[in-house]
Amino acid sequence: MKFILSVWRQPSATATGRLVDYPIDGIGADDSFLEVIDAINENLMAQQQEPIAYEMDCREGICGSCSLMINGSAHGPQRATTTCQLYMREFSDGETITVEPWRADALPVIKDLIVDRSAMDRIMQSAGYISVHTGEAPDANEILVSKHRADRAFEAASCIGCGACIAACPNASAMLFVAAKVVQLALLPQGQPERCHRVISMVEAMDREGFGNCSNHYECAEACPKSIPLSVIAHLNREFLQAGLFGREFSAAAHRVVHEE
Amino acid sequence: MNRLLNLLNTSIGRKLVVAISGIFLLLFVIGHALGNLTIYIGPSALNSYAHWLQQSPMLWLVRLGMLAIVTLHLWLGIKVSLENRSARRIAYQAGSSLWQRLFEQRMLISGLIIFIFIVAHVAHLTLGAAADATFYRVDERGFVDVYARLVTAFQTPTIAWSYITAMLLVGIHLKHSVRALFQTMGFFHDNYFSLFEGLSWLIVLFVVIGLCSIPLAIQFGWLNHAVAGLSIPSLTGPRFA
Ligand code: HEM
Ligand code: SF4
Ligand code: FES
Repeated sequence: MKFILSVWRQPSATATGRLVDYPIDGIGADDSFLEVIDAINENLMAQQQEPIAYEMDCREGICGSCSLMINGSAHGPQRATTTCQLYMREFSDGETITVEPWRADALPVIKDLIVDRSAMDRIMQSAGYISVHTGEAPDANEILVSKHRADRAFEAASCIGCGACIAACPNASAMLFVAAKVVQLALLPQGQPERCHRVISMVEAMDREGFGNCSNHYECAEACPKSIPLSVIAHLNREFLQAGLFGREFSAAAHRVVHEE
Repeated sequence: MNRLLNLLNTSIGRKLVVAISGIFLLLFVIGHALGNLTIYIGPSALNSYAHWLQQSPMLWLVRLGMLAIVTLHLWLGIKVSLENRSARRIAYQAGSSLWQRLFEQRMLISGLIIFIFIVAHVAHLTLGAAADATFYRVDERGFVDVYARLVTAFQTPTIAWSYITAMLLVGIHLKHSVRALFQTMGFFHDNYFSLFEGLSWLIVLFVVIGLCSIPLAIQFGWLNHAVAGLSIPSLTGPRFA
């Protein structure tokens, strides 16, 4: 198969970028999208040119680093699929495919197709964890969790932090991501002690990073490679309201107190 | 209090206030539509309804409350929309078409036009800007003749069609918001998705068809028989003969 990849090239965070066309031939229908970029990069390197910078790690759909906007769709046209798991049979022969980085002011481009996703890390650092004493692994089934809850927590926990929800949202809102990270712990016994603190801190952290607000456009769940359901956003809203009305006070100063107790 | 103010400083808190003020606006619109539909029972039914409203001791309380709610909704709606715009200042090259972008912005666009409509509507039919003698008519019971007011006003095609356009925009606004409300308020579950979708269509169709039907009926002369007895010059055209 033959394609023209129209790729966003931007030498650095501060440089201006533009789309550059790269024709490529001899691609198999079962080659993955990343392999096409690799083939173009081989050619570029053979010609002593700068290869296209993009992110990838696992190439099996679990790490969330291969984040590309393909023809205006996050992770390309196929639903519930990461870019590394996207195969060229999804495209028609001779097609021109536009490849861009995620666009959100909170996720600035570092180079070519790579964006800085530290904003998402900072949200996780704010409270996306549980505090436990490490040591020996606890006995299995020591704390009972119902099957239904475990399934729903697991569903939320399958978020790989790729940022497609943010990239696809017309408002660049991070609600689906934050909701998945809040809900996975809110549903489990281990998440209870810090439950109020977690949801408020993570929402405050999200706001600080300058993501947009959720307007219920529902593009996020369409784009999510892990099919995180929309209902986690309603669950987040519920958690937040409950914590806001009945939980601890807001603001950074207040959670420091909680931690020092 | 401090706690509530802090809630307002967060993205989810602001959305909640937009949604809660939206619920009041929604209830108001449904009530308004129900009341106005009494026009089909006849002049005395509509005039009695209007009289009941006008002599109510709660009238000014409700009016001021609605003013506060509209202001809150407008202010936060605009603020939230502006924040959303600035969250992605560099657009995608393979981006959406102009129509898609307008569609994405439909809440703000329809909302702003609805606001202009509300101001014009209150000036037009409540305060009586540019009113003629029929505006101040009273019926045989001494009630303000709102029926004559409406029939006179909606005989002018531009007025009738602007009202109809505004109601269609209310429909667009509500189609998105009724379902969104449940999500914003935290009440949403995948199992209820079609229930909320159905509910939002039901409310939108009721409000839009109900409110659009009045200027349409007057334009097309469907209410003629009822006004035959009125001896207002403007009501005695060929249509109202
Ligand atoms: C005064 C003019 C109005 C403006 C400027 C306006 C603007 C907006 C905007 C921008 C939103 C979406 C906020 C977001 O991005 O999520 C919104 C939501 C909403 N609007 Fe309005 N609106 C107006 C009038 C109305 C009226 C008359 C009604 C009811 C009939 C209404 C009902 C709602 C509801 C229920 C929501 C909540 C949707 C949600 O939870 O996301 N609005 N409005
Ligand atoms: S919710 Fe889905 S789209 Fe968003 S970061 Fe997680 S896996 Fe990616
Ligand atoms: S490279 Fe890990 S998910 Fe695609």
